[in-house]
Amino acid sequence: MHDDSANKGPQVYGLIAEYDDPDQLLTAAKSTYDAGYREVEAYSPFPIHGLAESLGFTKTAVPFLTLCAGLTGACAGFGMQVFATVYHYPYDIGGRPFLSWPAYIPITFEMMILFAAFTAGLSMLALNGLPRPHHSIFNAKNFERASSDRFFLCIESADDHYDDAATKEFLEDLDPRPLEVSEVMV
Amino acid sequence: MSTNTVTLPFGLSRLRGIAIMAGPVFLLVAIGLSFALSGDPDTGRSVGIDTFFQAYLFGYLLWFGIAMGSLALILIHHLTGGAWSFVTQRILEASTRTLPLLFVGFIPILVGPLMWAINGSAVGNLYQPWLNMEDAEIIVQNKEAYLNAGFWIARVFFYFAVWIGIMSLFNHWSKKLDETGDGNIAVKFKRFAPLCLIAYCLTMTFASTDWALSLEPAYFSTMYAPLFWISQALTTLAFTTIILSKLAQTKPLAEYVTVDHYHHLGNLIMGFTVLWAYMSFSQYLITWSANLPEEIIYYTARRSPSLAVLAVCLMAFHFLVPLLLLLWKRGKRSPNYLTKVCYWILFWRLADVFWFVSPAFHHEAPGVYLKDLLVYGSAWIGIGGIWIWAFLGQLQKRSVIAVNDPRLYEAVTHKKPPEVLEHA
Repeated sequence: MHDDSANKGPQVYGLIAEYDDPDQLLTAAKSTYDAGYREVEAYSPFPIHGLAESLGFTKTAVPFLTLCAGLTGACAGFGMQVFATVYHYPYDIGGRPFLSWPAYIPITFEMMILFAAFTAGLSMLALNGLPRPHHSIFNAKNFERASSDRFFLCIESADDHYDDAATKEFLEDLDPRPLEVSEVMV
Repeated sequence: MSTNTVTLPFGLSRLRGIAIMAGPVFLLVAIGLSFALSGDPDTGRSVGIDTFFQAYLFGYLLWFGIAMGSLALILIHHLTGGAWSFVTQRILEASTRTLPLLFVGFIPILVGPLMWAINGSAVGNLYQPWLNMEDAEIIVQNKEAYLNAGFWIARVFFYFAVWIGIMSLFNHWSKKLDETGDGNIAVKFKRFAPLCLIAYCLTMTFASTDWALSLEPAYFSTMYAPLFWISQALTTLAFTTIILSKLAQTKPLAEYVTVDHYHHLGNLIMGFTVLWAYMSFSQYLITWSANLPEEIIYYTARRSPSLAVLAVCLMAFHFLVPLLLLLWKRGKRSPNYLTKVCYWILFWRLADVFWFVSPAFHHEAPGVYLKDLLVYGSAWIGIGGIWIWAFLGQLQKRSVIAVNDPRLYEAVTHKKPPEVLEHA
């Protein structure tokens, strides 16, 4: 085993505080944000109302991308049918005009949904940096309980205000007091 | 806890005073205009008092739609227990309690078939195309077993018996829950809601067929009734959101209503707007594709230049504009913005009902007639005045929030009650 911590970047991913109550996590998240920390993540087994907002999470690009993709899909679907039935292979069906737009609507609608749904799903994954095989947060002590009965708040070392000692003290002195504060290694 | 009465905000109590005066006045105006203005003599169906009866049906369907939409939304509320619906529950309940009044208000529509059954007179002849079977087409004559005056009248009484029954049951339990706080009542709500919702769908299907679709008895469409349900829910949600925004300016409702509730309501209104467009268009697409003589008359009677313009306006302003307006998240979270969109939607609901009612009476010369616009508008205000007065009266009678409902805690705080977590 060789130790090369001296010539690599920061070895600490962040500091993590553990709670056993969702309300305490919510309060702690608010205090942390108010103290100026921005690279903060909260982990809980179920969605907590207002938690994302308390960490300063406002909006993502997903809705806008989905709207653009939906419009693209609708135009592509409609245009494809106009091209096929008016220019490329015009055909008299029951004496209707070649440009019988009501018949195009179902396909147009479906293409819009197809593009929008795929974009919503895939852009969400892409913007989240997923899929990825491993994340440092899994090194945190007790972290497997984040999916059952524990609530975690992690201040990442990438934060401008991050300081090993001061941040640890800040977390330990938080009101409500966490069960435990520990370091997460990269 | 005792049942509280509600003091309406100044705006609403003043509206109530104006409404009860405007109601009868505008009904008289509608009758007067109906006689005074010359209609469309070609068809012989919009002369004199006839237009008033047609306009009455138009206005009635819209206000009745809010009461029935409220009934359906209450049942959905008890079925799903969503957070959005707790703050609207009492507004919806008050609106369903106008159903007995609406039963009385149905009399002018009942007159035509009743007079026909008694002495074959053609007074208020809304349903002449099937009442007068001798002159009807074969395809209509074949429907006589269902479309005849006696059975039609019997069905009216049956529908109202079912609706008023459901309405009384749910309002009664709701009152008891307020008084006693007995948690078992919440279970009863849940148990009976699905059955009653099925009853609503079935009765409303037949009622929409009887009262509106049978104006053009040759036409048939399986989309027609679902379109009615959706339209009622959409009108109700828009109307309820407006009332909620007024009530929520003062306590006690101000303590419960958050921007999240407006957000939920905005999402639902957007959903129903899309559903309305989906169903309206599906009905058109199917009829247009098949192009069968007995079906297509419904749309050929609606494709004069003025009616075609109205149809395009409906697509643009009843569907596209509200959809785009409601896509904006911050807008939906602003009561001021959302209520403006709701007024817009209510206006286009009027246009939509006008589009499917009025052309039924002008098959020989389809078009949008000025006389129709004036008389229909007056009748809508006339019926609305009386209805709003009754609705606001009912709204005052009960607490504006179901304080004793065991599900309220979760709906307002978005959390499980403390005792539930302890047991978990």
